[in-house]
Amino acid sequence: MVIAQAIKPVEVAQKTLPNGLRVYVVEDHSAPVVAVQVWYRVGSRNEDESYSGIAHMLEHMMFRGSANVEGKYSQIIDQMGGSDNAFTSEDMTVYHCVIPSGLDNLDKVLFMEADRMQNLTFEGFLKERDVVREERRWRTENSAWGSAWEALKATAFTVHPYRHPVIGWAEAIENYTLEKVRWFYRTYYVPNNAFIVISGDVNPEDVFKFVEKHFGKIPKGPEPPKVFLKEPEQRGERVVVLKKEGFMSFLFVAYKIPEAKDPDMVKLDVLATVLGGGKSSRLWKALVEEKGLATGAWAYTDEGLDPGLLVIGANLKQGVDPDSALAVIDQVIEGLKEGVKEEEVAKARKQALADFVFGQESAVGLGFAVGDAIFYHDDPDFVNKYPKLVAEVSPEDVRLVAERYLVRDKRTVLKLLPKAPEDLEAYIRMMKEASKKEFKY
Amino acid sequence: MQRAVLVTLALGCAAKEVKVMPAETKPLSERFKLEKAEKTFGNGLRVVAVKKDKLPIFQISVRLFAGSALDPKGKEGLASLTQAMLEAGAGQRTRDQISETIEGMGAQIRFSAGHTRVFASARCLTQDAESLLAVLSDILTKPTFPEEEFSKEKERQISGILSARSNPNTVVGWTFYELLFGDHPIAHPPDGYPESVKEITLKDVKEFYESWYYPENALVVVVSDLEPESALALVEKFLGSWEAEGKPLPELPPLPEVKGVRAKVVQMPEVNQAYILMGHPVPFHRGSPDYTPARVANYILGGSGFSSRIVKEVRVKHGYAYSTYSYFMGGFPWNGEPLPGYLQSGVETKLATGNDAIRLIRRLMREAKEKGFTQEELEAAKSYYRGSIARSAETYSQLADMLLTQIDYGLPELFWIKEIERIQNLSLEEVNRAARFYQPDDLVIAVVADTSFKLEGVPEVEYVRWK
Repeated sequence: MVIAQAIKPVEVAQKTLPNGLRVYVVEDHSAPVVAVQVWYRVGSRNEDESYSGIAHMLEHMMFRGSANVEGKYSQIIDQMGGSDNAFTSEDMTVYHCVIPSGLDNLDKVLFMEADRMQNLTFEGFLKERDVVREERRWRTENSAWGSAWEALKATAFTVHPYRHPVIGWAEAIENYTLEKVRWFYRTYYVPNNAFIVISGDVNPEDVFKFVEKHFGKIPKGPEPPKVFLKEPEQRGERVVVLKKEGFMSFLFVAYKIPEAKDPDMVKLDVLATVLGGGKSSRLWKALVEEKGLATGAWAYTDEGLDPGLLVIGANLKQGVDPDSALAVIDQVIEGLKEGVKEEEVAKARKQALADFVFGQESAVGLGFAVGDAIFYHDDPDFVNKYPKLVAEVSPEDVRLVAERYLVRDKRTVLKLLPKAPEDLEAYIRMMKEASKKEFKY
Repeated sequence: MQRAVLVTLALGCAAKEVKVMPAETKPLSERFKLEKAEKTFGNGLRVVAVKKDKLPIFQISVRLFAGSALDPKGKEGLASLTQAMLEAGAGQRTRDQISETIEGMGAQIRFSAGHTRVFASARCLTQDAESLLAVLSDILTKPTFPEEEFSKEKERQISGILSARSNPNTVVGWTFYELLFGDHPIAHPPDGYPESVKEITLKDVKEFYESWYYPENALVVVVSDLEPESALALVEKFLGSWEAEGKPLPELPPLPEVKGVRAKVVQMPEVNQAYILMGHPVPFHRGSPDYTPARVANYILGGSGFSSRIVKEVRVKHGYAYSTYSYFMGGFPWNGEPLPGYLQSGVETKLATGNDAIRLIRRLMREAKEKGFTQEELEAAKSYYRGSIARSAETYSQLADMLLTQIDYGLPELFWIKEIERIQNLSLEEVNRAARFYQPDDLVIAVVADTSFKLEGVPEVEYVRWK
């Protein structure tokens, strides 16, 4: 018999500076590392379409240097033996690094983060714009998944800025001006629109001291403009077909769901697990095991500050008609509305609990979990509450949210098909040959 | 001051799995050791258990020398298909029951088949360790290989290969291996080719399993909050009675050399970037003494992101690419005699700058080889490695991976700390000597790009249309 330790809650210390900057500290002395994360409440949802991707462009510029750091931000972290990066999403831009613990390192990192919050120099703007253009080619244009995701969002959302890609449209990138990036920076990179999460081998008093030292003098900025556009209610199914060179075909089915803060979200998370969380899920069993139409199937909630999507996906086998897979998905969803089994919900509960523990393995994981809770729920303790909330979801709750949200009129279907070439007959011949002849690429 | 920093790191890094000795003058690696137990069971299975009690997590990794290098000619993909079939049914369990059990406890299990090794890596909450081991033991020792699952799995593998062929990144990787390794058993992609997978029968899979899945060919590493001895006992309960005898592992032929420049361009319509991989074999592996200075040299050339010469030139100065790097791959472990590794440098750039990027990276390799690096660059690298000790074995799976690497490459205990101590003492001359391993004029270049792309400055280029 294995005697296991108890599962302990995550404890978070916090402080707000007079300029509105909030600081959160999670102590964990199990390894001599510290994760420092600066979260800005700005992402592609704050952009107009004609300068879409500018939040991400600004993220790139943040590594090009500020008045007192001279473009060596990453090199300095490197020399500490740390690593750093950043990401931009629809809702947020996050700068994160992991460094060996020690007050000198912490002091230096916070100095640099404060410097680039207020003194960005915008050196090498045009070169960096080229880099971003390359990133778009690599991430989206040459990738079936990237292209499909972009098309799905652009169809599911017609008004809300979630419709444009985080990286931005190609021509938008090519036409960014320095003036516009500067404006974006001045408007959104203010202490009252950011918060800092520091996790790992630190104590809160040291952190608060250093944060005050470096960020305390940055003036509070005007409140950044609110995103006021709302996605109108969807009144009818939307179907988009995308043809792309290659052999891939897959299917996305995306249903409208509420924003992250809505109490239904936890039920929808359980629903997504029952539907498509792993190989024992309903979709996997139906599409992969029973019907053999797909090589993989999944479902997840793409939650956001504003109403988002529950996305179902299936990688189809060669030559499978997406409509036949869609029919199976429809059957699975109808089945769900008839009832959900207790053991299916129990599985989701157990997974939420295990993920809660696994998420604390590294200082970085801990920082992201707490940061997410703050960002979407204004409550660092949400990280502890979540497994409990999942534990309260009943099979009937899941059935009800399936009925409420998995509605055909409110969904967008994307079918990605291999592009038919000009000579269709030759192409079909080739596809048939593909499975039996010498065929290396 | 430096010493003080190192001491703090060691203490913290070690946390509970490490005991700190009082003598402060000794090097870091002599001052503490892992809380570890090791045993080879009566059936020949070697198990290593380490305690890490930060969280109630039980991590287990199993390694077998059963990778694609053992695929028979014409049946490439057999190792991978055999591994995939393990989960199709085992003991009294069907495929569904296996996934129900694992996912039902919130556990995770991941299999992978590489060129020489197959891995199973699983983790769960410690309270579920027995249930996880029961499933894992069935999967490894009692697969049932059901007929009806076989055709499905085969089809899935073929479909996966065809999908991967749409991805220029994958295709350039395959082309690179083919150029680099020619007819060697590690040259082909572990998943094989559609036509070779088609040839594989269920009998082949059973034979492959019987030949290469046996306790003496496996290694188990556990990292958990359990006492190491208790972890060993637990593993013995489930895997101690695994009785199987396979074949002795064959010797692998030496890897081919590369002389001159060999290049191949795979023309993929509408791919508006050139996906480029270049590199060459190196005469050492992860466990050789030459590896460490070469690793440092390459950190400076292309292994350190924004600090590296390649990123500074290719990305920051010229804006050619979003992603570019170089690295020394550590080799291919094989039954106590690892095959050496290779150098790989990669870049993705728009078609118009593809040739410029290749020229630039080769020039940077040549400069490193001929002129070496500066003391300042070396100090920056040392500083990086010094600090990186802290992160090297932070998570349960990272520590398990370190232990597997240690054993498979014949490295000393706590090599991840000892190597960094050695780096601190390397002279510029030693690192510059290691930079002579770069072969800017004897390498292979693999490119995937639109048909309009022409490779310049290389005497013989093979162009093939992507099919």
